[in-house]
Amino acid sequence: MKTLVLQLARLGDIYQTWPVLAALKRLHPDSELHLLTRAKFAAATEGLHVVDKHWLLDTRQVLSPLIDERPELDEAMRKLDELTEKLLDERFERVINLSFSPLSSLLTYEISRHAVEVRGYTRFDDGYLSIPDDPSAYFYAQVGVDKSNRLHVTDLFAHVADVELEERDWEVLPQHDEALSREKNVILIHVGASSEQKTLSVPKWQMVAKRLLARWSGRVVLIGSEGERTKAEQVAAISGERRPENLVGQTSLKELIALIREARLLIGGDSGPVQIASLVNTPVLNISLKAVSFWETGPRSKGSRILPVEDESQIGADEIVEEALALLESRRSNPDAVVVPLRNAPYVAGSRQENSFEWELLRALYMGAEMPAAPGEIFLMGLKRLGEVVELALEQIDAVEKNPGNKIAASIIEQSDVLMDQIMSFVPEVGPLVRWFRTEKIRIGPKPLKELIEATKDVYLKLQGVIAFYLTSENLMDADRSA
Amino acid sequence: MSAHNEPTPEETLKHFLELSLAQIQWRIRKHGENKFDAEMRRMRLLEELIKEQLPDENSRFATGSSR
Repeated sequence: MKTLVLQLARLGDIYQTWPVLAALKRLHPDSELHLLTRAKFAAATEGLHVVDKHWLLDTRQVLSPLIDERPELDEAMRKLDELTEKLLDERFERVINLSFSPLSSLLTYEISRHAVEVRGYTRFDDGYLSIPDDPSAYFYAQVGVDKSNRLHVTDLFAHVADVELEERDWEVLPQHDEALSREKNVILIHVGASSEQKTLSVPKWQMVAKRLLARWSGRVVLIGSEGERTKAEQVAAISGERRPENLVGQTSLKELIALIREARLLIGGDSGPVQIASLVNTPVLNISLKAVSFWETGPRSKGSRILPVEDESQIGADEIVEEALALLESRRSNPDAVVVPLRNAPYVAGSRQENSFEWELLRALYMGAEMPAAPGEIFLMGLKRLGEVVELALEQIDAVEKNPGNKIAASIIEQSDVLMDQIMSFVPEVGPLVRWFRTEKIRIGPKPLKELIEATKDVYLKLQGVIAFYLTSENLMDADRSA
Repeated sequence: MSAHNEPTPEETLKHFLELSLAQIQWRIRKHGENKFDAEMRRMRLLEELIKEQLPDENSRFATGSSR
């Protein structure tokens, strides 16, 4: 089946897509596999041999007529059509959109007219967002830093693409050589990230470099892109006998990959080099700040560790260096550290992340796990209020069914969404449930009114079913006991 | 606008983004919300391409929730 994969996000996401592409090729070796990325990030596909054809979305080229001296909208539209028609002419049988943006959904719709199977965000014929598969619906509803998801982005991409990853799918590039890295004795530090909130400040990195150089006799090398040069220079300008070597802005992506592969360890925040380290299986010590979810974008290389902190004031440079050395010596140090046991396996939570009711609820709603016990009376109170809103909405849906012109009923149904928001703000534990419900409503496509009413009612009834489960007398009694 | 009153490419794109949004809104008013023809689709796609050129509009989590 001729397949096109769209990955229109940034560097890190492209690298996190590599194992999925390898799995697609492994499972369908005779099918042509094409990949579409943004031209800006073309370098992140260098060495990706499993792809038969690489397409580039060159936004600047399409938009250049608009920034000319005499702007030409028609010319921009013509260039846009050229791009979509070329892709349409390929007659892809399967289109898999692994980007979760409005642009990607519109583009997917435009180019998948001949496709038998479309996965990932696209559009309904009336232009509304369409989420055809369950993994993408999970992504829409539950993924992001403020949510409770604990599935890694690479695994989510694999679910969207409908493939099961194997260890060998991660081995697209030559792998980390333990013996060679011991000989070379290099620890890399990546001081930058796509935003400053995802990494440590200059003074903190200076302290880390200084402490590390005091305890590590091997080389300490700073890596990063051209844009991170100033920050790296500041970090490198520490006092003392030894200073870190600074290669920031001096390496191509290919050279960077080679450096990471041969290093003993990479220390960094949430960034592209961490994702590269996963592909070459070099261990990472990841300092994960509040602006990111390490569950979703943390390192995958065997033996890596993650130190999750709200902000950098919560962790000292000494603690970071101690954990780095403990990692290299294979001993436990910080009980809060999250451990990566194997590349293709889930993380082992640290002492602070062991229990999460919301995550257990997600597992029950989406992955067939058992419903977790109610976390307390406030949750049950929230569900009671939610149940009342659902009952009210169901009454109004019946009223619309009897009289489709009933505008008051329609406006009450809309208001029920506002009420749900209020409940969710008071009782965050009901969040996963409400977000699941909302996404299921969005997934209802354009249909005749009678079918639309039935489908909507069905989603409300499903929500009512979950609420009823918790509001049985046994659960209420359990909650009373634990309160 | 820049110091010389010459718009930067970003400013020009922002201006076109506003124009395209206005055109889409006008078409929706004219045809009703359910009318989503080929031209409107192309305009929406162009609009999103422009947004993509502007900083931080197309991160993974800029979910396509606009309905």
